[in-house]
Amino acid sequence: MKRYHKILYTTLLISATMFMNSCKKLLEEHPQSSIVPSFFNSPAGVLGGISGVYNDIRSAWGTEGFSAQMVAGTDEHLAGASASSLPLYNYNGLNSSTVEGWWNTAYTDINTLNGVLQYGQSIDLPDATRKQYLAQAKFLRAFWYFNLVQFFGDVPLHITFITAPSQADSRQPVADVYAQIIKDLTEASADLPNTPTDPFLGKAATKPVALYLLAKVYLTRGWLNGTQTDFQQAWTIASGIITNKATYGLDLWADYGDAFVPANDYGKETMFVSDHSSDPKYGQYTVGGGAAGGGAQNLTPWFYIWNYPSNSGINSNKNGSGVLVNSGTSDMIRDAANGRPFIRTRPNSALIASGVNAGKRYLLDQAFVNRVNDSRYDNTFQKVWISNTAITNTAAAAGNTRGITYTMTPGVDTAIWIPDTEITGAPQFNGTTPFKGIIIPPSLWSNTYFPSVKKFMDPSRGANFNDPSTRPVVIYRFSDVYMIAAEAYFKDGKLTEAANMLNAVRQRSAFRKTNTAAQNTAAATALTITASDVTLDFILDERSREFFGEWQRWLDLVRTKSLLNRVTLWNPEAAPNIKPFHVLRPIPQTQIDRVVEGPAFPQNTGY
Amino acid sequence: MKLLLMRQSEKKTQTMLRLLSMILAFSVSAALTVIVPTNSLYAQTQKRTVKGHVSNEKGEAINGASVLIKGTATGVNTDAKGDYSIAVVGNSVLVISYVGYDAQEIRITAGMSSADVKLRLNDKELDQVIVIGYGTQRKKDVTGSVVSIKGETLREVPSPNLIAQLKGRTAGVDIVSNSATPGGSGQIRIRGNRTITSSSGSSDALDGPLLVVDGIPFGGSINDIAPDDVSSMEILKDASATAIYGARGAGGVILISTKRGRTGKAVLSYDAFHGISSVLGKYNVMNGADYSQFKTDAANYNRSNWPTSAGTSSYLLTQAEKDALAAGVSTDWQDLIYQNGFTTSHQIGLSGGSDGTQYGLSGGYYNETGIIPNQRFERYSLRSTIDHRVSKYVKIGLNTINTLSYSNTPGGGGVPSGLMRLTPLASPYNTDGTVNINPAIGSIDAATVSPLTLITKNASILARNRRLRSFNSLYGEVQIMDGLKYRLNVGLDYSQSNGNGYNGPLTYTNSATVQSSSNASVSNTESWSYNIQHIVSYNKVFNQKHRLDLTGLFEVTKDHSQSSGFNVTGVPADYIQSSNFGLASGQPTVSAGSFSESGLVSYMGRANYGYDNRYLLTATVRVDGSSNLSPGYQYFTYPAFAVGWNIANEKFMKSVNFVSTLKLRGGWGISGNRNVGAYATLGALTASTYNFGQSTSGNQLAYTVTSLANKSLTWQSTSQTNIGVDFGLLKNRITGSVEVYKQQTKDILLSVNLPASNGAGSTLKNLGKTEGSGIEVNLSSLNIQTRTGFTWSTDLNFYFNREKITQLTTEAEKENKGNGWFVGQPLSVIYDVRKIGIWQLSDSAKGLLAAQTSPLQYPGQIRAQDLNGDGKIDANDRQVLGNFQPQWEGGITNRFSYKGFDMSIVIFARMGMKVLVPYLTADGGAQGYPFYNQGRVNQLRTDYWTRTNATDAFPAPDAGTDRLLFGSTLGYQDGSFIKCRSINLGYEIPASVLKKTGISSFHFYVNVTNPFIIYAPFVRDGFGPDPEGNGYGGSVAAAGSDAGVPSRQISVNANNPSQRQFTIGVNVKF
Repeated sequence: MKRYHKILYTTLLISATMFMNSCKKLLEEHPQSSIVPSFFNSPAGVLGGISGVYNDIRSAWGTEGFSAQMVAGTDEHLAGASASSLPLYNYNGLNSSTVEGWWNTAYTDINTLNGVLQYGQSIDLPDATRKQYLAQAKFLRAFWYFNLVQFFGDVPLHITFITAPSQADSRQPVADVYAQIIKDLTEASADLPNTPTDPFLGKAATKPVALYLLAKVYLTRGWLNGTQTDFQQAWTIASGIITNKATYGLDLWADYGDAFVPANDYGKETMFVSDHSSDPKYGQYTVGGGAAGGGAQNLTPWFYIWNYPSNSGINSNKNGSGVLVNSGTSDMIRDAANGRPFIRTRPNSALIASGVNAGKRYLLDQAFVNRVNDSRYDNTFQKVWISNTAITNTAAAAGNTRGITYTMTPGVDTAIWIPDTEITGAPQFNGTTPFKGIIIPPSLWSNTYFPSVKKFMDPSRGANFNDPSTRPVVIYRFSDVYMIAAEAYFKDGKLTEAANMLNAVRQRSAFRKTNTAAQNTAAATALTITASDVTLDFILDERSREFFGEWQRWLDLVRTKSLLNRVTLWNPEAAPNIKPFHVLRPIPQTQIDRVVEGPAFPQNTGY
Repeated sequence: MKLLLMRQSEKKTQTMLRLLSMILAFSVSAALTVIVPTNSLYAQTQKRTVKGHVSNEKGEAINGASVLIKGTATGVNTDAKGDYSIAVVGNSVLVISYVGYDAQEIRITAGMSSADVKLRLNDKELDQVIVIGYGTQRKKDVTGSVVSIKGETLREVPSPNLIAQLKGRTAGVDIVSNSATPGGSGQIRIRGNRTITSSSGSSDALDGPLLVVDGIPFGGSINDIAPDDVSSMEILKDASATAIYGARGAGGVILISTKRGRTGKAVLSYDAFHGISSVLGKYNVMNGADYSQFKTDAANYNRSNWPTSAGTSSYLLTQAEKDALAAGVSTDWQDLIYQNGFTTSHQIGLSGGSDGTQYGLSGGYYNETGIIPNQRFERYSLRSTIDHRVSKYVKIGLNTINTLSYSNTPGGGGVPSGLMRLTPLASPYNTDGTVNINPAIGSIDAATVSPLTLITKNASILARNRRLRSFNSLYGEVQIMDGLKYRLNVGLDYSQSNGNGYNGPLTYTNSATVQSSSNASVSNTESWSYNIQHIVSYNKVFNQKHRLDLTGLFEVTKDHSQSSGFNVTGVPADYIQSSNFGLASGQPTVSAGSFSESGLVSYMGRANYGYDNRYLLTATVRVDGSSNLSPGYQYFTYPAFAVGWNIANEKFMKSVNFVSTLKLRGGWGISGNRNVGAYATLGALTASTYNFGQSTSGNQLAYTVTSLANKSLTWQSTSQTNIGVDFGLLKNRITGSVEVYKQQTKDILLSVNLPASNGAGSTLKNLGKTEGSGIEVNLSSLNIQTRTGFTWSTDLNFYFNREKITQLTTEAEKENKGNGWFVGQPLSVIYDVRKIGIWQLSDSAKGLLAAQTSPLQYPGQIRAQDLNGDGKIDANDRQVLGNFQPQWEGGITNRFSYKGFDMSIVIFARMGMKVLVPYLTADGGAQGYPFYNQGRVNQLRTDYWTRTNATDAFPAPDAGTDRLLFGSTLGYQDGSFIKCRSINLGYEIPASVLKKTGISSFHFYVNVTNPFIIYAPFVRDGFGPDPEGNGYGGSVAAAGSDAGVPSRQISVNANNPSQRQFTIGVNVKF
């Protein structure tokens, strides 16, 4: 009995002490199969946070809804036959549901970056690496805030890491947001390397990219407030980048077209991109464009492509109203060279019926009016489709007015020609000569028939032509540095300097590889302008030529306070609906609905 | 009620009973051939007379007591003085019995001429000791709602697991089948659902009961316990009983006690059964001719571009089908695939012991094959227990349960849906006798591979899960002083499962034709947990009137689980299956791995006080601390108290003779749910990837903050009040209980949307509230006990539960349509437009059809109610159409015994609720795929509309659409049923016969499980073989709106139909 008591008490005592100690341990959590926020407090976490934001950027630039927000509802673009989010194109019933996605993404990223910046200060890292990480984070935070403030005006401004859920938030004045953006970019540009440096390879943020964005921020704020010092800052910084372009490894290609050759995607003219690749893990690529890649797929090449395989019947004809009606078998099938037709957005070639521009088309008679000396129209648009399937058209075939029987030779015969001038006899005759394919001159253009934008085409898709593009989406291109400088000089009253900057861009666009040196020189001379030519509209037209389809136009028009004016003048589909308040996008309704603590979250005026 | 209902399907019943009696007659005659020669050995002994006196516990004579020679029909009754006289032969056993008293047996040995007997009042029911949480208690002292069920009772229904055996057996325990693949157990709910959730998985985890085996919490599969190893099961239903399980008790607690050794001679036992199972019924699909007509009708009523579309269809009969129709081919694919399943169970046990040491050993084998080829569940079990008294004061014991189980379920539950839709106009075999591999050749479904490949290519399909489980409990008990005991319980549980899958090309599960499209998978899950309990108890009776029982507990639990999985394509040859990924042509890919550990630290105190066996008081408090919650929020307290009043023991009741026992109980308590998962309060980053540039050196892992953790999360908790009455009437010939309860659950986790500008879209908060209440009645009665030895007893239960949501995220939020949650409604409801018939030609003539402006409809289509009268049928016309909560449920078990024969019949009912039947709907996708669908595939035979059949039941088929307008409304049917769960007929060979065989008892039986359905409108209307359920969710969404029923809901899918099983078994003891 006694013996047992002894054993018992000893056991009890030992186990009691053991358990008291182990209790505390037992209630600690050590997750192993998920990444928890505290992981940020490590070098890999900080780097991963920055990479996560880059990944989110690629879920916006290159995707459908976002692309439409950047170019639709402007003087440059109209809706294609299969456009989604029509309100973005015509402002009819435009509401918050069209913008929600990237508002959420932007703030997810901002909070992630706030976490990176908080932990990045304290973790154990070599100083140079820390400097680089923090500079990246500051650049990216400014990048998102700059987009937010341009689209929405006053927005919530968070610069510390939020870890506790809150159902309250408020909008901060635009001035405060700009001040933070300028602070972040100033600091980032001081610490970022001149050229892409491991681990931020490719064309991630560098010093000139931060400076470029800073110049643009000053320019934008200058327009907003009319402050001369901002314009001065803008041209000072922009011209500084041009001065040091060799240091930064940046320059213009001699040929405008070379800027869009896949081989040059990471070349000297490219400043900042969102990357894609065919790697199934890191590029999130799936053959067939499956859903696994989610929103992070580059579908850019396809939005601007008309339905050439389905709507190019060889015996298409004009009906009584002069409208092109599809008829007969097409001699085009979908392939990688001509791209997957999404028919979302078309160049604005609407014939203006009345007003100062009556009888004009924005595309041909305003932006690209000089298509002889300026190579940019030819480098931007696809005009010719070579037959890629053999068909025979009999003279007796319904709708064949050519009077001949013939067979198309794939790879040789032109199946479709979309010329930029009127052709008599179109669609089946070139003048009086029977044309084996069809001709679609501007008078037959519609939301179904239009020239495709070819800058972003990705022929490397091969047989998997429905796969997304693996080319990077070029967000900033070096020629914009000249254009920013030009605009800033112009606003600062320095028209000569502005003309010089514009000429740098224009003279380059005169270059064609097919021309002789003399022809190129002559063209360059013809395109050269003087100080007196520099007007706001000229600058905007120049931007249209230079950046057609490159995610710039809507913001360009908003910045220069030209949206209402230019859309009213040139966009007959949007003109009836656009109102002054449309210079800001609506705040997402979910944001408004979900702020249930504290003051209500106000919507932008007009929505 | 029961008799009334039985009459309704008398015919069916009689057929079944006739069949049963034939089987019985055969078995009995077989048995007799064994018995007769043995019996003749004893016939030679001489006859003599035995006399005696029978008295009750007070010594008073019992008049009319039955005195029977065991194993015979010979017997007499005692006279008014309690005396009897009976002639016996040789060594016989007399059975003396009287209503309300325990029967007694007396062995009459040679030379014995008299035997006096004192019968004891039968208060077995109320004097028995039952298991409660962390201890035992006399049943008469219990104040909570506790039901005790014996292992023998459960074994009346041969099943792979306890849950399946428990179905329909006790009030308040609702078990509904959710799968008919081998090893399926069913969904179990005690007193309804409490948690607002949309997933069936989390509903099971949060609303299902806690299982405790031999005192140790038992997670994981109930299939890991062989039912033969169970001696009893106690179900704790109300919070005053479950609060001592704190954060795990809200769903009720099932305490399972396994058999242990007993002092005495070693007993060797052998229990075995063998069964044949077949489908309860087939899905009633169209034959070849009907199918052809259906396609024609679908073309005729093509409304896509009416009227020009009339008569057109992309899915008319193919040439091969036309030829088959002309040749009279009509293949019933279900007949070709459904096969008989076989069930085998063997269990050998040895138990015995001396005063100091008791032991028990058992080994079992269970094998069940399904009605779908190659589907099986197999279990090997090995168990041993030892209890040893080291000294007067110290006792230790160990119980180890080890199981190895294999399940192989190629095709899973979903094979029948493929059988239903495959064209009947195709021969299953080619003329040379080989399988027609693509029976739908020439049609759009040409790639479909014949289901016969499930049989012919069985080596090319694998879906196997191997599970190894070792569940061990160890205890040590020390008697410190009189009444004071310390007990240490240690539970160690380890399980490992290993999944292997393979789908070869050109098999039913893989329609690809090339080997490179074969796919294989492997997965591994390892779990372990330990549980350590220190229990100090003090138990004493003071002054003979004050009974005090104190219990203190300190407990720690740790659970661990970890899993990984890999997939690969391009296995070069079928025989390799999943064995060597290295040989495959594809790169292995990873399925997300998981890791989870959680700890629980608990303290509990309980006091039971009883005064004079009349007044009872129980108070408990439990504190649980959990690692799943954030520091500062980790501990939660669960109080409970209950009182009881044994009214029958009051003086004033002494004169009320017909009441033998009467107890009033009342209790209140709080118990919880571990609704916050491990690591949920830490938050998680969304993991992704990015490539900086296009060379691999720029590849980076990427993370963003997408959800914000709520550190203040706490457990969901349920407070429950329970009032119950236990009674025994007519000397406990009728016993029973009635319970009334009401429960309120709060702090249910709901996702709250956050303004995105705060960096994340949502967070979890403890916001939801629900309520439930119900009544439960359990009755047992001894209806007839004759002196000839015939007894008839009945166990009856009746209950209902009413649950409702009382709050969503805010007071103002009255509905969450997306998830199907509505304040004031049960937790799963149907929210859809109401079908009020089919648009008839006459409606069109009357202009009714034209009055509906949207959508444009035609005669023959479903007519929905325009709730708001705006002439349009849209999402605004949706309404709550019903729910899945039965109006009442009940079960009745009748037992008959006569001499050595015993018979039990179990019947149970669930009445007055809807059932969701996705295969009667159509959405063009996976959910309603077989139905209508452009007239593309074969269908269930339905009463559908045509110009000459103006029915309101089913719409006309339409070759122009794969989703019928308002087709979702067809999926809500009456799910009521009354079913016979089992009929069991057994015979115990008399001890006298077995005497010299070395066998101490020999019982054999025949059983039929799920013999027939007594009442089910669903079956009557031809919608399917069984309304009970065999899957989850699958609700079809009306175009442009949310699914009509939450996906957590059990539904009747086109899955394996339920089965009827005939079993023959023996129980032998040596």
